[in-house]
Amino acid sequence: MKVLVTGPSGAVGQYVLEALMRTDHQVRVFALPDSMHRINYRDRIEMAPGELADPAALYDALKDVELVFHTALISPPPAIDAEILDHVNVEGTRSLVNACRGKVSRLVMMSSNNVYVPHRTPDLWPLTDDAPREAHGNPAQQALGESLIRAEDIVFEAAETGAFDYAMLRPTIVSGRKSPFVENLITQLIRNAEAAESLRRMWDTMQWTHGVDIGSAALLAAEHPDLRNQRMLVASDEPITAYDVVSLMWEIMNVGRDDNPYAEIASQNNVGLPKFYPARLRAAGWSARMTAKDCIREVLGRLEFYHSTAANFPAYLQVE
Amino acid sequence: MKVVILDRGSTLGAMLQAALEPLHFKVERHELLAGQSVIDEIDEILSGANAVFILHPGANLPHEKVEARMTEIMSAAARAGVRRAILLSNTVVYSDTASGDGTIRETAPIHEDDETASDAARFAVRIENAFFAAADDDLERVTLRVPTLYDRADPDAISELRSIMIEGKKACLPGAFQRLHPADLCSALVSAMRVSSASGHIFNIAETTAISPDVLVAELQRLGRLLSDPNATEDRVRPSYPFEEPRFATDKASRILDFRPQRSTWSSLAECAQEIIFDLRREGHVVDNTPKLPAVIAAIETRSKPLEGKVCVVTGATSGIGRELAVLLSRLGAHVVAVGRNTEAGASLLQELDDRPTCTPGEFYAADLSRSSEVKKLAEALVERHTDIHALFNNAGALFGSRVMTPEGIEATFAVNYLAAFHLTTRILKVISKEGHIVNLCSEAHRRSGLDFGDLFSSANYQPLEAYARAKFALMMFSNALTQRLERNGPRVLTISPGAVRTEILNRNDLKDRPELAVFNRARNRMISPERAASFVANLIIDQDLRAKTGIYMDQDKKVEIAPATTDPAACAHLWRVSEALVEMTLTEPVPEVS
Repeated sequence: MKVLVTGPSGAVGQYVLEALMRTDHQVRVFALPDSMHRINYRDRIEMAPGELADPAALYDALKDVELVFHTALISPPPAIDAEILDHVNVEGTRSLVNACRGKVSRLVMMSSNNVYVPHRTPDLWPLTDDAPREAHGNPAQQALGESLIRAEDIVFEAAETGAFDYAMLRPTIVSGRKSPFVENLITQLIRNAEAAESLRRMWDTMQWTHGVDIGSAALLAAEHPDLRNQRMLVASDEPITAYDVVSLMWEIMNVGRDDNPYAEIASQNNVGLPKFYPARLRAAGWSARMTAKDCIREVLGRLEFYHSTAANFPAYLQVE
Repeated sequence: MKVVILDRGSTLGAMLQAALEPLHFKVERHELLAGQSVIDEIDEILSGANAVFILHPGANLPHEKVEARMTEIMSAAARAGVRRAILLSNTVVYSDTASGDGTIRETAPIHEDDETASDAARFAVRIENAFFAAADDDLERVTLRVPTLYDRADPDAISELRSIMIEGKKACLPGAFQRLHPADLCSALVSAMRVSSASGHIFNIAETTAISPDVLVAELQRLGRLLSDPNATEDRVRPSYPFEEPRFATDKASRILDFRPQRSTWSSLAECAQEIIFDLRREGHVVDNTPKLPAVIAAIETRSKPLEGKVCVVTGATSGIGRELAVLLSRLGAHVVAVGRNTEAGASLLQELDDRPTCTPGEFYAADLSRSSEVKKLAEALVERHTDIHALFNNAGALFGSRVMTPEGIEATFAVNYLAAFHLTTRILKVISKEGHIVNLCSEAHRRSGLDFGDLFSSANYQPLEAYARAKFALMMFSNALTQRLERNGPRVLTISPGAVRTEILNRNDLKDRPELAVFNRARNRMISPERAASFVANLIIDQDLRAKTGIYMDQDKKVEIAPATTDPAACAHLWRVSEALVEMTLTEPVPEVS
């Protein structure tokens, strides 16, 4: 089957591409011309340059395509404003949906758990797939939520009028290559472990999902009959707070020791209950393979903190 | 390798099966209580099996019967050449004297089959005895003695913890509290099957730490508050509790089976507490946690159409808040009558309403509301076409960078933001339903302004924002006067300030040239979207909590006090007369009377 991936160099798109490399699908990617050099597996895929706002480029890119993975959606680092969110997430999706109408059989879209109603306090847990949506949070999160809800509605309404089937994935915080959130958190904590308290308060309980697991969820969502025209939360099993991140970092850096000084405070700050339960994907046989510890190990290894003079290690975060 | 699980259909059996299957064991599960049939076929069931697990032999049958079954299973297992049998027993077997020196080891005395022991204890002892009877065969026997589990699927375990949570310490059994998570029991069972040196041994399997009844009560009650009350922030972090000496020694299991519990007491307790709170919520003892959505969002999300068949007029519907409002009302089922100057944008709005399956088709009138003649024409068209308008949204608004007079001789800010609303409302009032709504979009900016009857057209010292604030002040006065006139016999009158909204209102009409307005554009990222503003506005006519109220003023989604300066009856009456005169001046015929 011929498949198209939009946003193939992004935090999620690259893992969807990676997952597709293990299938026998013929893969075509649709990417901005200036991001082509950042796409992996360039020798094994077909490249279609263009932007979503350009119907002609989309028309060419969609030739013979039966399945589309739409991962070209953005979420705001502090500098992205509402207009850009609207342009990429809403207008981009609208343009793609119009081009896909009646041509592709299923569109798998990567939305975000940001679209759900506020779910911060433990009395609301666990959040599941069909929780109602309401944009919320600070102005940037609000704008992101609004743009994603609009983009989702475009897809839902197109499916209602028979344009194609969809599968709407809503991942929690994405970990993996090109995931600034996890990297920033770890960088802040390794420079100043005492920031854990304020970061715990800010982010409270998180359930990261690694790109690898989102990739496998996307493939499942593209094929599984029970996931046709469904909305799905994508989340790992493990609820963690900033204190758990510190504690896990200590474990990674102190292999074989069991006197983790952060274990107790991490356990005190963790309610121990999952915030998200991806019921639909679990019922379809999906579960996350990457633990929070794997995600942290990956970042620590990649950023080479061991050699960084900027990292201010507390005496008890011993290296080796 | 074939493995047989004999249980009573518990979740533990299913968990064990799920744990064994990835290890490439061929797992067969049979319900021991399914009746005589299992016993009749026991030879067939056990043939070729490598190991057999006997979980929860079941207390619902008479003891003798279970004992007899146990004996049959064991002899069948020996006949079938099963290598190992693993019995899940219970720590109730230990006699009351066992804990004399503190921690109970596997060698501690167990109950005899005497009258002093509890029924469950006597039963467990008889099962163990039957398990070990005829131990002269080649069958390897492993026994795990396990306390009650933290099993959220087990109603007995949950109801015990529930009474402790609610009644406190008096519901606790005496002594330290030491239990086990089912997931950890599963891994212990798997080890008991795989570790060869375990043969013939009895193991205590429990979490390695224990807590006192006081700690148990405090923690369950903390979890109860945290999981039922969104404001229980002081309960968010668990205090550090002291640990007790464990009741059951687990060092033998740790040495031989390499048993290391992965689940902490605290997360296991939290799981059970969550289950208790779910039950309490179902029974209505804990407040409902269904998210409280604004009425508009709830209706959109559930696709309900509270405005089905209702006609809603929206002015300024081709961009900004008005466009979003038109789409939103249409998604709520309303037949939207959109009014705007830009016919192209109007056509694209109608196209959207037609195309989207969630929307209801509407209609569009092109009119420049700064001109009374066009307002009149619009009003006549509306009155001719509609006899029952459900809601009128006077949304059209504008600012002008420099002072502009309309061809009819009215200052443009005043004309668009106030006079058009006055004129249109009074003209179509007779076709607005008595149960309907008149919604005027105002601005908090009116509060720091006033109205100078001597200079309604800001001819002295024109400032765009000041002129806008004055017009909105007049709109507030008009709303209050209209509320008075209509009282309870006519449509409700509502005013709302949508807040700072990310629209183009400050980018048009040469406003870019005004440096004092640049600060607003720099704050765009902190403004709300037109869509959110529209949801505040639409909420006014949907929200049941606001239904009975007329003459209210909302700042976004909060009801706030109306500025007293806008309610002066004499000034309001004067403004009404002046407005009528102005409309009359720009037209040739008078405005209809409002009774």
